[in-house]
Amino acid sequence: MTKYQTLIKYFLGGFLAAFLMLNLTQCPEETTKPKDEKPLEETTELTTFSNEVITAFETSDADQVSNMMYEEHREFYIPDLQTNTDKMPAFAEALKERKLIGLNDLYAEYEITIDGTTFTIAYGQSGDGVWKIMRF
Amino acid sequence: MKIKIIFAIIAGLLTYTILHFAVMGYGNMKAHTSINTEINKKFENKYIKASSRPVKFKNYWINFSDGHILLEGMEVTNYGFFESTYGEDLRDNTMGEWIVHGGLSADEPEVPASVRHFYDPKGLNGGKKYLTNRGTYWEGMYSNPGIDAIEWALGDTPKGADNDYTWVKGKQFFVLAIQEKDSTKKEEYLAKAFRCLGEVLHNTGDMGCPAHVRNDSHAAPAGLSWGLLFGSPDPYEELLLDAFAGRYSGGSPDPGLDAYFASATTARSINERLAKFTNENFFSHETISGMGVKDIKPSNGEKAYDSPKLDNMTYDPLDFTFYKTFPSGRKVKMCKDHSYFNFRGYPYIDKECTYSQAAELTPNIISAGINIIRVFLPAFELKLENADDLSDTLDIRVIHTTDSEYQDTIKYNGKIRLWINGKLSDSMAIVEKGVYRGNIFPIKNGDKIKAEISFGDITILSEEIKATMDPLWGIWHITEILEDSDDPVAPEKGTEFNGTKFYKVRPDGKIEISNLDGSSKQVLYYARTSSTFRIYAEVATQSYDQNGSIASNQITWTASTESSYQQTVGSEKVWYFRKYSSKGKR
Repeated sequence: MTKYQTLIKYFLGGFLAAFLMLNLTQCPEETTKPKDEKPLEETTELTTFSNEVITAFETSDADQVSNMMYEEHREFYIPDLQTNTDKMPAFAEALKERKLIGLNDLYAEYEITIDGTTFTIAYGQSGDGVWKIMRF
Repeated sequence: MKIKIIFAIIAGLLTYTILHFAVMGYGNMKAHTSINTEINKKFENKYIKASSRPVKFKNYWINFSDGHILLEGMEVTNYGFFESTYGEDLRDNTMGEWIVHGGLSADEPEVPASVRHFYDPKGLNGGKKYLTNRGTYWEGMYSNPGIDAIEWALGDTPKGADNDYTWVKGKQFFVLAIQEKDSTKKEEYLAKAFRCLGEVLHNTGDMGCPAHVRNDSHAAPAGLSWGLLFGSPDPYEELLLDAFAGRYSGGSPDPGLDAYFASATTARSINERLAKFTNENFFSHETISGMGVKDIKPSNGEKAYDSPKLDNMTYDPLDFTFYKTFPSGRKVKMCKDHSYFNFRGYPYIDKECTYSQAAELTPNIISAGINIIRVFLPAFELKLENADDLSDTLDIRVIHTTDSEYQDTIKYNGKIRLWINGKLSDSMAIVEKGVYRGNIFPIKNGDKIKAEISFGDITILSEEIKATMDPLWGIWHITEILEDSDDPVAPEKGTEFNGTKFYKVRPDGKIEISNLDGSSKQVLYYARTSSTFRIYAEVATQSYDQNGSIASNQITWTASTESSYQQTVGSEKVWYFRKYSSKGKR
């Protein structure tokens, strides 16, 4: 019992130390001037997600694409995909050369080119950090 | 054992760190601060700096965009999701900075804000103007406050009373600031008032954002683990960069809207009208409907709005874009339906559409915003008058004209400063209940004077008047040199006498000369013709006669002065005289 009490004591010590470090050693976050349009740079999370999307299209796996999409948007996009699975690899290839044209914490928009024609694909996340396809 | 202890400490450290960042840590920056910054600038340009400024602001000088008077108030310093996890602290900001800060603070704490910033003018869901879309998802996590964005921002209904920074409270703080005598308290009230104004302008910005006026729930702030319940993000809102406000604010607003806003008398009417315009003319990305390549239904599961409809837009097959031409003359990209997989698919709003729509919406938000500021500022006139033609007494009145937003008369308490011949005087008067009667040194006859009151970076000036008073009125530093006397006990000739006196011309025409503290008061006859004057008196035992002339600049005079007086010498009464050369200088 004494052994556990000692461990709990050290656990609480660590908890308290973290509290002190995170709350008392930092100045309050200041509100800063409005930011201007920042240069667009794909985040690691977006790169990872894009790679997953590319794989799903490359393998013509419409179900996998569906799973990566916002539920409420699936019915408007997946039927078209299911009837055109043969076009999916070309989409994947184009996505490898994607150009990021719009980015915010919750939204990313890319431009892709297939046979000289430009299309866009958009991803979103709902604050939870999980990126999903919004449309393509 | 040692390993276990180290493990326990690390576990403690990690546990707190994870908890801390799970509930507290994220930062947000919003386009609203840029919008409010632009509104500040445009308000000044249109209503203060323009030659054709409205009567209300004829004598106002307002500097929101580059102010310098700091006002201490509570500012959001740590962003957070809930009341318990965000923080405020005392900060100094100018009025303009408080307006800009209000654009940001209105979104804090963010989760309550995210469900209170919707206003559906059509009340498509059973007349409810607040957010109900996806309610079955998120209401399990956060109870629906059932309040729409306008009543939350204005606080003009019982539901809005919970908001600390509303339009109603902002006006109350402004009135308190104007009435408050204590300058520190006055500044505190002003800081609150202008943060309130900034938060209302945030609402104005939202009413020009389609996703906020079309019952379309969209993603929660970054970092909220259950944000998915609010749905996907709205491209227009997410791509509405800070830079847009500056980029598009110079565009022409919709002429009908602009005219409506310019003549509006209440904040509610302005924000409601803007919301109606946005709702009727723009899609949010999940409320697109009408006949496209097929019959398009909203993707958010709600009923379709009557307007706008794809059917009523012009479709350009070359760029797969639905266009709508507005009264402003702009041809706006409303949505596209280009699809690789089906040539034309479900319509969407992309970056190009967002930019095109922002070019139409931003000038209308700015037009609404500057008129929100216009109706927020009470109408004051500063009246300055000579109390009479003799004295330096001034009547100053701070006159408030009531209007729809300020229906009770506001009586100003505080300082008044004077401009004398184009220079700001150090002297000031204190006005009580909007009225001051008294003199403010140093004014002389013919001076051009203006009064001003100021609170923060707002200054109200009176019309310029010419001071009318007798030219001898006021304080004079007097030097007299004895030139002649037959009095054996008189000082030597050439002896100099100095003194400072206050000359006051009485309504009965006599002149009153006294020390500055009012002592040794003498009342003498006074006659003046243009620049020459005579001051005289005679009683049984003495007489006084001074003849002089005042310089044209009225800051010096010269005179010859003779006094006679009777003295008792032994048993005899003897008259003596003294002659002086006298001069006065202000």
